[in-house]
Amino acid sequence: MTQRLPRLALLAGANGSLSPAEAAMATAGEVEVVLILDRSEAEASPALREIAESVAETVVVATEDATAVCAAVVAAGAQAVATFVDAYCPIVDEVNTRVFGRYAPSGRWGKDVQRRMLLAAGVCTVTNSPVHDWHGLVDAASRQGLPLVLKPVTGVASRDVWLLNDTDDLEAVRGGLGANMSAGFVAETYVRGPARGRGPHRADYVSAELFVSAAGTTGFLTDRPPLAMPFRETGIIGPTTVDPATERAVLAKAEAAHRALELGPGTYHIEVKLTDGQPEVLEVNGRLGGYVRRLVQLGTGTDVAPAAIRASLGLDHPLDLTWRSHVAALFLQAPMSASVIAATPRRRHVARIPGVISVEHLASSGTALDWRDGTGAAAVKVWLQGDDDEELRTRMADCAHRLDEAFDFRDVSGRRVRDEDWLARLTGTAPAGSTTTDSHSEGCDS
Amino acid sequence: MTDLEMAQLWAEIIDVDQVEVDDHFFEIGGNSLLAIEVVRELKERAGVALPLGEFLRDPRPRAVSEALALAAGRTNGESAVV
Repeated sequence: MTQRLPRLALLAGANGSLSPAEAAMATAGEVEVVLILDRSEAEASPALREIAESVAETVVVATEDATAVCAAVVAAGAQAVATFVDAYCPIVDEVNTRVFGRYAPSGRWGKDVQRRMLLAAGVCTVTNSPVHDWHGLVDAASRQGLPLVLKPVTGVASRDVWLLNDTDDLEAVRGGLGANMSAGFVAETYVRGPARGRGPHRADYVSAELFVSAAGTTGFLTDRPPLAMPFRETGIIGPTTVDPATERAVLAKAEAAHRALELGPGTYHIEVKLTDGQPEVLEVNGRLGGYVRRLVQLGTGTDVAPAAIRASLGLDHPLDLTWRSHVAALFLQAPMSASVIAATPRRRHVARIPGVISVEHLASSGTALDWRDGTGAAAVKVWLQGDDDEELRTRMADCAHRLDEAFDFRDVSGRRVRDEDWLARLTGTAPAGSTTTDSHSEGCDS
Repeated sequence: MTDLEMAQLWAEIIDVDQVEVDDHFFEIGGNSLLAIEVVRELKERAGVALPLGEFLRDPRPRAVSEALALAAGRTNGESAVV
């Protein structure tokens, strides 16, 4: 008699940290993945549906209808439900509660509730205030002091995240957001990084990836290049170069955050800021980190996707990562003042830059730009590899310079603009004592 | 379609100088939309409808050439039966 394979219902989408194809094929022969796509997204992107249906049993439902999603999960005969898309984490909680009877605290993926839970558990010291209009923001600034980080409660990928250093910045928010704050923002006390930073090439926050199964928790860290102002991510680097003691402290903090949010089995991406004291949790995401699968695969030869899928079912999967090469994804973000990409290089020209192993994304010439679109508006995303960290750093710096020359960003008056500050921080040419936005910034999800 | 012809097609679609016959589609700049484009182009050039799932199962020029040949065989077999 053939034994039935475990079945996982996966709410999938185009913006997941594992694509539907990656997720469905990761554990072929071990786990049956049933893909659940959102009706609106499937209609807007027929290619997504075509790909999903070509690799797995696929159901299309209106994901805003929790009852419909629950029915789809039950009909799929799944033992668990999971997602690699931030937007679906709340519905996964709801399905877990209604279908599987697994309690999930309400609202824990909102930045306001999550921070309150972490504070209550003593896992972090960062305070925040809900903000629904500009006057509320001013009140928060007077209570908490500046600098503050203003972010949407349900925001992802650094969209509409503001750094408020002074009253001019508060006025800029009034001009930029105006009355559009009713959807819910939080004003968060800004976390200071280590006074001495981490030197060039590295941001002062790291990401912890946790794989939690019934057998226990395993995890590892990745590094980040310096942020583009104000909080736009510019890539991911592996392996981490933090010292072992710091690595242990960060992983312990990430596990404490997992407990504080009463999370169950699965994969979690936890942004942690390094400070001169204890590491501070910036945020917890209920999924594998973006670009992590490829980073680890290139650097170690190990595919973490099977571990991620199995963890979603509570099943263990050994992860023994030995880094054989140093890898980075580097994203070029336009300067904040840019309003359009006037010219881009050909993909094949970018691919010829020394150290570049592939070009993952290349924006089109003529693309309108707005820094408030966050990390997702990167002009180009490339993968680089080096034999050791020094070679990788040299290649990242060289690549960044070449990309800076090749892309033509223009501001509203048609003037060419460049992000020389970010380049200087990435390449280590920032003048000594200069204010590095990175060492005072905060990570956001990707 | 030979392995090399397949690699050349991918290089054109991904817009890179060169693709090796054992390069993984998604590791050289390919993405899901480009995968669909490759499958459509294969139908156009070779007259064979390769299921997308078969392309995704092992997306390397050598493996996809083999899958295409098998799919062509199936198509011919069906034609013969008909």
